[in-house]
Amino acid sequence: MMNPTTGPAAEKGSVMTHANLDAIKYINDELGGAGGYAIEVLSLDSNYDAAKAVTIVKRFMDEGCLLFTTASSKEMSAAMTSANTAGFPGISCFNAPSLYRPPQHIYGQTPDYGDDALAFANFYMKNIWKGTGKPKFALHLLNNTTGYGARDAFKAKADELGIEIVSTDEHAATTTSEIESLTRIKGKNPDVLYISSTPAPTAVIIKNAKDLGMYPGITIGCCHAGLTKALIDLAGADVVEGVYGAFPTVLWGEDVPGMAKMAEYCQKLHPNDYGNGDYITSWAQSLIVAKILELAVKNAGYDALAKGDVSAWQAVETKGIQKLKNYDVGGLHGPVSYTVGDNRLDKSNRIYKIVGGKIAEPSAWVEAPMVKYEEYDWFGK
Amino acid sequence: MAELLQYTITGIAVGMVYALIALGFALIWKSSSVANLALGQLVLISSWFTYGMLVQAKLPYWIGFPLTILFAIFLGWMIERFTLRPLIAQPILALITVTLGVGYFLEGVVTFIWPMSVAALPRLFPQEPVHIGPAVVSQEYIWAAGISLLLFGILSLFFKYHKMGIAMRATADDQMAVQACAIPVTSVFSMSWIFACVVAAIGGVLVSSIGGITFGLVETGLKSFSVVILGGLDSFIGCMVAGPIIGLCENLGGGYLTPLIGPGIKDIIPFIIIIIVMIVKPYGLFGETRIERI
Repeated sequence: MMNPTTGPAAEKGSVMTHANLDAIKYINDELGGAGGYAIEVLSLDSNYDAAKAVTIVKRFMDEGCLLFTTASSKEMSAAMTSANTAGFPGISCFNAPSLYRPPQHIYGQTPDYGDDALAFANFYMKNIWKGTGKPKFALHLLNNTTGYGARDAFKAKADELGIEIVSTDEHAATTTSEIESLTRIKGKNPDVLYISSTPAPTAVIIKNAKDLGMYPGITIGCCHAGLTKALIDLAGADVVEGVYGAFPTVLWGEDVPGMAKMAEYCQKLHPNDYGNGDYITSWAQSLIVAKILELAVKNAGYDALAKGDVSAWQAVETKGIQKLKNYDVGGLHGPVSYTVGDNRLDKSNRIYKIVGGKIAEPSAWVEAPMVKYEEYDWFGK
Repeated sequence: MAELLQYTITGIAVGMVYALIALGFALIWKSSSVANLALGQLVLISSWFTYGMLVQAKLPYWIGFPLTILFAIFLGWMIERFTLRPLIAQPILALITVTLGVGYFLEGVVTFIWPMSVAALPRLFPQEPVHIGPAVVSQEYIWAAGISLLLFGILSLFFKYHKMGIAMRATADDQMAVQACAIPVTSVFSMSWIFACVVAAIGGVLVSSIGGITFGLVETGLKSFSVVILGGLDSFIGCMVAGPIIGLCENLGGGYLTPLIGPGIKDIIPFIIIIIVMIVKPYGLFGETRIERI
């Protein structure tokens, strides 16, 4: 398992690592492992650094790991070339369309950043937009796959959705001011500002939008990488009141079968993470890994997997990942299924709104349609 | 016109924040001719320490902030005493390299003590933005600008009139000569590191109040290198002039060039400036022309 526990995305990566490892501990200690075998984890810090991610995935392969997971699309983006070439299966918790379009050996655990964007735009058109003509969307995107996933989705589907993209801006993960870009955006009179980023830059952007008098007044939507408790802490609850965002999991405390055990482990082992949506996602990721290994043991046999080589990876992929059918992950997020030609394992998002300093008001689950980005000639350029 | 004013005001305000951090770099260079590559990490660890005092220990500001300054003083003394002093008389490259090691060490300490890796300081300044004509500027930037001007004034006076300040300048000039004059070079180095850490701590608190405490502070600290390269490695006035210039270039360039060139241009402007300055005026706008290349 590879997560950025240090570096610019550590605010997410460290929580996600805790969740991954806590869940594996639960699986090994209480569920007897996967298919009767304890799961051994090699957990490494990627530092949100592409070069490190490449080295780490090579090490995973050299050490005979059966599959690998990452937290972020940026890491997977760097790691996937060698993984795909070797046929080494990987699962990215958060992902961008470029990771698995066209589908190869990399899988997305949750809907991608393009799905977030489309889910939010759909929700906006059905529930918020009351004007005539096309609503104007301004995009503010992190300058990596997190942002580019949303950019690609809007590029592919804006016309179909009936929205107009009036500006596309980018920011760095370390930005301390976006007044300049927002001044330009303000001049375009957008109805919506859609931010596809991580919490710290998202907080800066929303604070700056408030200083400029843009917000409240327009609707702000965030992708799932940005909509966390950290966003509220960093920007201030009053600043982000009313901000919308897509997220692929349930809320803490919701009445689903997997909640109690996860909450118990979180409070026991990492109480500071309690309430953080990223913990839920990565806890679910480890449960999915366990399910995949259980299926692979059942369908291919322990001996086939014990080799830890190309044939074992193929067995994990075809007899494990691709056999996933409506695994409900304790209800923590949408059901996990493999569909031929679509490497997203979970396709459901909800739209949330920040109310009273909390992520609240979940919408119904929205299943994201498959977009065959590779059929657009601009994709990947 | 309103846009131009907004870009200009924001650029100057943001640039003053860079200038504040750059002062810490110039301080070390001015007294020891060492490039402090741990600047970003000093900013980071001081911000986390402040968080530890104000949020985790729940201390009031009037106790938490002085403790942060004391921590910075202690940190500066420790770094000089245990990593730099043993290398006196060694090649300058060794001294510079060890600051890189100190930076990584501090990053590791931060990860170990504060594993949550992102946090918000309590609000230090009023949130209501200030309106200057049609432009607005957040109070956080105004306070940062004011404090950097104040520190610049204090440091300039100290280096010009105080005995220790003069000794520090002389030490940077010729270590052998000042030792012959019975000036304790080790004390001078200690003092410069203490000052630099205090400036980094103040900068860290101010920058964290804008964007929160994240590992991004390391890169924000590193961004100040473009300021000192433009201003001159050993010049306080250089920092105060170059900071706003970098901020202005970023904001004006980002504002007007993005629609023409595309997103992302804003972030590369400081580096374009560094390259141009290195070619045209390698010692910066206000730096001494004698420069040791490594």
